[in-house]
Amino acid sequence: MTETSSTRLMDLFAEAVELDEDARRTFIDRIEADDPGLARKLRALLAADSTEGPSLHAPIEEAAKSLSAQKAAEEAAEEEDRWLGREIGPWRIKRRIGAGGMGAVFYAERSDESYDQGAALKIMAAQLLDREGAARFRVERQILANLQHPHIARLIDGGTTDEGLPYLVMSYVEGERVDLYCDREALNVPDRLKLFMKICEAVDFAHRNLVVHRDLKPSNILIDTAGTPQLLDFGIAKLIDKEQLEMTMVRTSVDARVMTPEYASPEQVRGEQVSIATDVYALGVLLYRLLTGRSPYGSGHSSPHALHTAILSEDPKKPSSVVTEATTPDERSVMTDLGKQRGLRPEQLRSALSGDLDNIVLKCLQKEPERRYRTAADLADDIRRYLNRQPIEARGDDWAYKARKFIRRRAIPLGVTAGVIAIVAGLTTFYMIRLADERDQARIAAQQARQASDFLAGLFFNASPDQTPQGGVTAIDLLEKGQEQVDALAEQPRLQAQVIALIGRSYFYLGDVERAADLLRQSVTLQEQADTQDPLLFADTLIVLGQALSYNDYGDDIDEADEFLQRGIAILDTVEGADPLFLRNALAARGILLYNLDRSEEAIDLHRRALAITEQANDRESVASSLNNLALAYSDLGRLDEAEPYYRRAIAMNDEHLGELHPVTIQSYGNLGTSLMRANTPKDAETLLTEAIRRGEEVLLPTDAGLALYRAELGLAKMEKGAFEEGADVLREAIAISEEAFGENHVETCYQMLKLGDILAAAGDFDGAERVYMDADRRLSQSDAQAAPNIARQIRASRILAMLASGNATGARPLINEALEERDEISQTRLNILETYRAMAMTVAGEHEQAADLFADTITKIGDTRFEPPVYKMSVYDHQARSLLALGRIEEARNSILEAKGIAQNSVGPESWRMALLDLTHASIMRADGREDAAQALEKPARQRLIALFGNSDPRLQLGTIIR
Amino acid sequence: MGAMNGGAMPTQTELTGFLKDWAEGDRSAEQKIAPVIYDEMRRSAARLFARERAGHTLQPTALVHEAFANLIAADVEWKSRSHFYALASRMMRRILIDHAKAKNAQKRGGGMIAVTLNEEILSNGENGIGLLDLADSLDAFEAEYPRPAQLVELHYFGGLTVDEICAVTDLSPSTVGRDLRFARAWLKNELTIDKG
Repeated sequence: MTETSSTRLMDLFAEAVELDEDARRTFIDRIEADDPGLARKLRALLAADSTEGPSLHAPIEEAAKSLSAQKAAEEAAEEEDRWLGREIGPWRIKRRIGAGGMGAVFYAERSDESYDQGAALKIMAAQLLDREGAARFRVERQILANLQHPHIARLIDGGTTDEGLPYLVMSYVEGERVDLYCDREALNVPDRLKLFMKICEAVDFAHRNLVVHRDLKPSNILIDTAGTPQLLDFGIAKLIDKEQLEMTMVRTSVDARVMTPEYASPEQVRGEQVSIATDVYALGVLLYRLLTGRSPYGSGHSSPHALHTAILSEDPKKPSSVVTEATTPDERSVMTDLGKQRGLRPEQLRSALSGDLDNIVLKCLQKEPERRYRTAADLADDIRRYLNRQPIEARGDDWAYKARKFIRRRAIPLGVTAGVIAIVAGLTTFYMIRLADERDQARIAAQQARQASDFLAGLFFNASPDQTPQGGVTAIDLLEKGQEQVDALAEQPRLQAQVIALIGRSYFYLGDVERAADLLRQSVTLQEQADTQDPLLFADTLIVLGQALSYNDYGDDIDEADEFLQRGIAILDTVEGADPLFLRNALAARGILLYNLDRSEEAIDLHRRALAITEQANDRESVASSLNNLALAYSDLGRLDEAEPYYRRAIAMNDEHLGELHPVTIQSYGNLGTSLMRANTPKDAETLLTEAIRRGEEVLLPTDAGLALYRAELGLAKMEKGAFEEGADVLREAIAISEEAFGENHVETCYQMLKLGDILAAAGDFDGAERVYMDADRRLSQSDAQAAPNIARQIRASRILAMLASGNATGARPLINEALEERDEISQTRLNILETYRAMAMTVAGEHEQAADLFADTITKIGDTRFEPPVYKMSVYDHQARSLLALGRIEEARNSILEAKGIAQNSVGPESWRMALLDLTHASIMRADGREDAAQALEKPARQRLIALFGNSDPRLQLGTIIR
Repeated sequence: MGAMNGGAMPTQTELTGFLKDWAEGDRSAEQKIAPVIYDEMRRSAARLFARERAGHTLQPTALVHEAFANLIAADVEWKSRSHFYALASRMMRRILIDHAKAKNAQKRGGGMIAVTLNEEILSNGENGIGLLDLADSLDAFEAEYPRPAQLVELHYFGGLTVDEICAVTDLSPSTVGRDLRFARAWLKNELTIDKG
């Protein structure tokens, strides 16, 4: 292309983008006549211009990030080299053998030569915070040192360096990564499975000793020179958690250097409780890789966040399907290699994997921990059955399970994450988050059992008389044995009930809620049948049972859960001498359950009582959590005035006691900010939301639903104060983040688009708003999320209001009719609201007579408008006033506009630009009343302000053309 | 003006002086500043990584601004400042492309240092385009449209706003807006064709 034709294309493009669609077509057609090539180019450019297309920013930002990460790693490596030759305790550091997020790993030898083998010495990157942390480090270290198994690299020593950095010394394994080993040896599928089973057995051994690995991945599984797997770093991920808070995983998972995204389970990505099932998941990823050479989520993720999203929401493809789906020649040759490495051609490999092996792998990879294999041993058993050609346990998908309804609501986004967090915050004493707690609880339970009866003591401790504590008698072994022999207690039903309750309770703390529920139910039945009852034990059993059932979150168990909790609370209410905090936790558990069941009114009473108890006991953490629970329940009912003081107190306490960046603290800021926006008091909301976002961006994942919501609300807060461009920018950024984090068609993204549309409409850019609304609507139609229809309705409401504001009754009417078609499915309140829309359209169309009649019929019947756009109600009265004015019914018109202004006064405040819009109508009414001076005094500043904000041609300023 | 000797790092005063010379038309001064900016931005990258948490998007802007703050006297006049940003944007483009190429080579060679960040991010993702594709397209675009290409560099690699670009280039906001829009359409069209 010559210089001139290049310039010509630029000029034509610049000209064409300014034209509307029809003019553009004519324009290009004309060019086509004498230069078809140029026309084609122009068309392609215009098409690229009007579609979203790939982001140009993204690859640049990702490269910048990757560069930074690399530089940081290089610097860290340099830093680590200073350890060489140093002596740490009895160890002399010889060479560096690896680096990772947790710290550096060195090859070290005993300087006193008392131990002639080399060892791997790992120096943690972080200092232990305090003396308590150091003590815990010692305890955990001891537990890991006792973990002795031929396939687990042993922890030999540990301590802290002179600088106070904790270090660990593990047996040094000379070996090769398991995946590389399998490929190099070209192991066939059965041999790979056999090797994998050995890994499972080692993992299971650790689990039975109540140690969860948390970071299983090929680089932690080496095959030594004898061909035996050696698992490294067992429990280390836990050990180096410097905070040891329940939210620890949130922190580690946002830190890219610690995180190993491919092997992270959904619960780790979400920062939730880590359990045995977490390791089972990682084993599934490993098996997937050993069989197919791929990650379950493919490799095409544009960022770690995209991978996170995939882990949370994508169903992995069947292993058998991925091994033959190669499309390019390059991929095909890889697949052929893959088959060869596994001793098979690709098609043979596929048939080897399809069916049982697919099912086994996918069962490990279930999103919900409770749907995976219960233990690593169960997984190994299924593989053994497969190898022996016996039927396996993992079969297809459990549809009944899938069909069960998730009870948490999505209608008001506020409730969702808040509810989850509230549970975590409120029930830490019951829902044991950390394994250490689980272990302690299990021990306490075992101890209580021993104290409770000599029989039990004998059972627990004589079962394996020759085994030393290190020999592998584990809490679960004990519980299982106890369960087996509990029948022998049939003669002593009371004791039997007590033992069963203790075992059930222990399972509950171990996270096996189903098994816990079964046992606790048995115990309840036994206690009910007994002649006499220990009321405290009975209450305890009922409450733990109730919690186990509500913990499940699914289906019919919930009603039953409430029943048990109520019975337990009733007993505690009457019994003397019960620990008040015990009652408090029971009350909180039931309060949260009721909140989730949409019964916040009742939840309030419970949380109030819980609060009173915690205040008396002066237990700070549960005070804050009770305050938060109470505030949530109030704002759920729209009673913000009552909620706010509780929120404020909770915020102050969280800031002080949990720390600024604790997720619960952030949540309390966001909760209040969001509630304030819902009550149309944007001023204070802006500060709180900005704060919540600032802190949240530091520690929360971009997929955090709360964070997404705060951004939308912050944009709206800025809109209300007239900072439209700023508000729109907040939303645009939020949408970009959500597209990346959740996906383009995700409800979260669509919700933010809806809000962006609202801001554009408020700014007078009605065309822009309509485009965004339509785009959001189109995207929503791709989503089958439960909340989608709800948001689609909100979009329609916003579109109607925007069209009416721009004077476009013709556009609004079909939408109103469409909404009215759902009349059978919606409440009378909603129907009345739709009727007012119809009336407003009449006003805009100049059909004032009919409008006035319809307003008179419906306006007093508008009830709860929580789900309408915030401008809705004042807009209704404004339109009514205009129709009445047009009909010359001045007095009534005045009443209507005063009503509208009253609403504005109490919500957006007297300074709001919305008030200026109402002033225009008000001034017209005054003028019609013959009060020209007063009208001018009101109109002039309002008009000036609106022109400054929206320009001269904004349809909302052309009042005269509407009222004729 | 003291010349650099033996590759020693020039002082801030010296750099500010070079920058001024360059802004006033001394082409040779560019050779003295460019490598310093290049190194400085690469060094800052590690610091920024430590400061930023993952989950944030690391903006190239931050690197450019940081390099400016570290290298140049704060009271330098606006014209020199503009030139600095223009140069830094170009350096940024080069740094990132060098990095992406090195990563690619590393991946093919199999050797990789222990960075646990997902390495796939530099190749074509599902929803995005790779940096190297973008770089190729931008080169092609630049051959035909040098001015808009420079604006792309300033905006996307340097992170400059339209206003800042106007100050750097002496172009009007409408010209900058028009050129950028054209460039975006051109590049997106090119990149989608490549992909399809």
